[in-house]
Amino acid sequence: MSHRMTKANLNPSEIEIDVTWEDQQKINTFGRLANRVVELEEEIAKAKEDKNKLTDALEEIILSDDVKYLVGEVFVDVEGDDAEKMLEDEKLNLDKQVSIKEAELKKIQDTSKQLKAALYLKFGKNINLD
Amino acid sequence: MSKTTGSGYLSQGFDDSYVNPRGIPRAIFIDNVEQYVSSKVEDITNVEPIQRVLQDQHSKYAMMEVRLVNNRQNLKQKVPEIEKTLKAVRLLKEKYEADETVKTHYQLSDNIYVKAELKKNDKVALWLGANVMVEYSFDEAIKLLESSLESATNGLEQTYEDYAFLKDQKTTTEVNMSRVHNFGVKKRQELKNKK
Repeated sequence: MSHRMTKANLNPSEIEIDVTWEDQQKINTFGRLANRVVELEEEIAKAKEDKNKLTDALEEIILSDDVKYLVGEVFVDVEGDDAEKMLEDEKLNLDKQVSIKEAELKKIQDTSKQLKAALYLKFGKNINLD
Repeated sequence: MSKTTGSGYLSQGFDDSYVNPRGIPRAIFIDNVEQYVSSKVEDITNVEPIQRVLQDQHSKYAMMEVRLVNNRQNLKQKVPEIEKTLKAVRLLKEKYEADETVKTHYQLSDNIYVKAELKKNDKVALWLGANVMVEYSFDEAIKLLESSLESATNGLEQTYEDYAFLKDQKTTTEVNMSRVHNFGVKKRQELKNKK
């Protein structure tokens, strides 16, 4: 019993490796995680950018007594100190989101690395995971 | 505040007994290519009919994928929009309870903002879509928005689950395709060598 697999069109004559259900599950998981990594990276970049904007805003309003703060779609008059607090809150919120996402990303990257090593070990050049 | 949606399915995957609630069909895993091919075609050196079926399956999965990705994108935008509205209503309520006047600049048209003062006011009108706007008390409005937020978040969770499952089926099909293809090549080569 011999079946083989490649993801790309490799020379089939050199391939004599069984693909088991466990292998298939590893390949599937690897694919899923790769997808999640892209999404997480985008979300983290977006959150960091938003945080920078908030930091800029904080610097700008340091001397202001009166601030127009965007809530929903209208600008609301807010006192300087309150506005600072609101910005700080939003920043903290973003920080929390970023650290949750970064933790998930780290975990996923570790798992991916292990899967990749295991799959390359078994399939060698017959699989392309990059 | 939205939590990390669907990542559970994305990172943990699915049990063998999992059935997708939205009816995404499972792709079979070919345990033994030789047996599989001989059960499908008479001449095992000609795997083309099988490849066509697999290709067809693959494009169906790819089509579903496009739909799901769009869905997810829509919901991902919807959630922060509802959160934004909720925040505005909460502010109005706060100001009302503190007996304060809300001074705002609101957008009159694209580049024009005008001043408005909201004197003591305990109602808010929500745009429900389809040219309908309904007036609510603050608490009713908050309740309504919270329930839309919940359903959007659940919807997002669902698309993540579906997407994760679909992705597995698509990958399995891709692997099936190359295994069947390689089997065909090998058999044809063996045939040639015998001659």
